[in-house]
This record gives sequence, structure tokens and C-alpha cells, in this order.
Amino acid sequence: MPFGAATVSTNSLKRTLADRLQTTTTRNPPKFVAMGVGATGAARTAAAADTALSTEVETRTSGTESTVTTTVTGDTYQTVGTITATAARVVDEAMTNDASSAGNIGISATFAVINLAIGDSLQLTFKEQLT
Amino acid sequence: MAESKAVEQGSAASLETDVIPSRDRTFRIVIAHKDEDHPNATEFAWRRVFVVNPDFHGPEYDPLADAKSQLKQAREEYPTAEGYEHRIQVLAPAGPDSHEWQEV
Repeated sequence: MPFGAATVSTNSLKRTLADRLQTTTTRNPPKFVAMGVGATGAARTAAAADTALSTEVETRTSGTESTVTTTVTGDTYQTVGTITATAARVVDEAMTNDASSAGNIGISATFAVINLAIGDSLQLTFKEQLT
Repeated sequence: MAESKAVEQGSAASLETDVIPSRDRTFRIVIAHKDEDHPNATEFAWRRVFVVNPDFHGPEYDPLADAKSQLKQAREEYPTAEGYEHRIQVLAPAGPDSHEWQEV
């Protein structure tokens, strides 16, 4: 599949959402935010089966979580994280994850290149609306 | 017997991105003048350096816009028609040896 822009709820996220409804959960919240630079080179479009980014860069950040309203009150999980580039980066993919490293992917996204100079930051706002 | 029906449901993911330019960027405007006696060499006839210091600028300060404004002034003082070349050099906050050239 060629590169394309997409933002998808992965199969892993669906499992997490179901798990988090239990009294005792086994998965952590997908609050960590990560970005990568490899989607274009890998000719990858974000898909439900994704488990990781093509080429993740920088350290994941623990996003600020909240529930916000998209259609009905509080129907959307939101995590907002800001990542600073330690080198010039050509960012074209991002994800949420339930851990600061490895872990389980939540939302997977591929998008048109965002050029960051060293020291620039990218604020990523992920939303997952339950419909 | 009751008939069960699937209820259409699912989830919708979205992502918004916002680039936050570094407030530590240093822009150096370089004005070069080709030495006619040494055509393969480019000598720096003059350069202007200014550092973005968050302590002296408000949150709306745009360092790149400021650099471009300075560049415009430099082009007026040192015209391209007289052989001067102008560029903005973006210096990394990591150190003077880490830099890149930026198109202006």
C-alpha cells in the first residue's frame, strides 16, 4: 500500500477500550504520544493492524488526558503531548501508546510531512470518539 | 423468540498537529561578497548576528519573521546588484557547530 494520510483506531486500541471497561483492567491507558519519520519511505498508510511506527524518533511523552465532547457529553478520549526535536526531523507518522517504550499502540496516524528544525516542538492532539 | 440485531457502533480517531518553533533558535544573517580576484572563494563581507532570548521577547515574538525583516534591511544596504549574496543561517541551540541553511 502506498503512503497516504490516515488516522485510525487500531485493533489494539479496541482491545484496550474493551479491557478498560472491566473492574480489573489488564491494559494501561494509551496516553503516551510518539512521532516518527518512516511512513513515506516505507510507503505505509496507517491501518487498523498497525502495531508500531515505521521509524519512531525522539522520546515518547506522557500526554495530558481528558474526556471532551464531540457529539454527546464526554464521548471522546483525548491525549495531548508535545515532543521536541533533538535534530531536524521530517515527521510523517505518529501514534498513541500505553507505555513509554514498546507497549501497545492506540491510534495510528500517517500524514503529510511536517518539517521540524532542531529545537522545534510538535504538539499532537489525539482524539478517540466512541460512537 | 427475540431477534438480536447488530447495532452500528465504532470509534473515530483524529489527530491535530501544531508546530511550536523553538524559542532558542539563533538566526544569523550572512552577507557574502564574491571576491573577483578569487572567484571560487566567498568571503564574508559582513554579518549580523542576533540571538532570540525569551527574556527579552513576548510570547508572540516570531524569530523567523524578525530574521526576514533584518534580511530585507540587509539587502537594501548591500544590494544583490553589487555582487552581494544573502542567506539566513539557522543555528541550532545545541551548539555553533550544528547548523543548517534555510531557504529565504
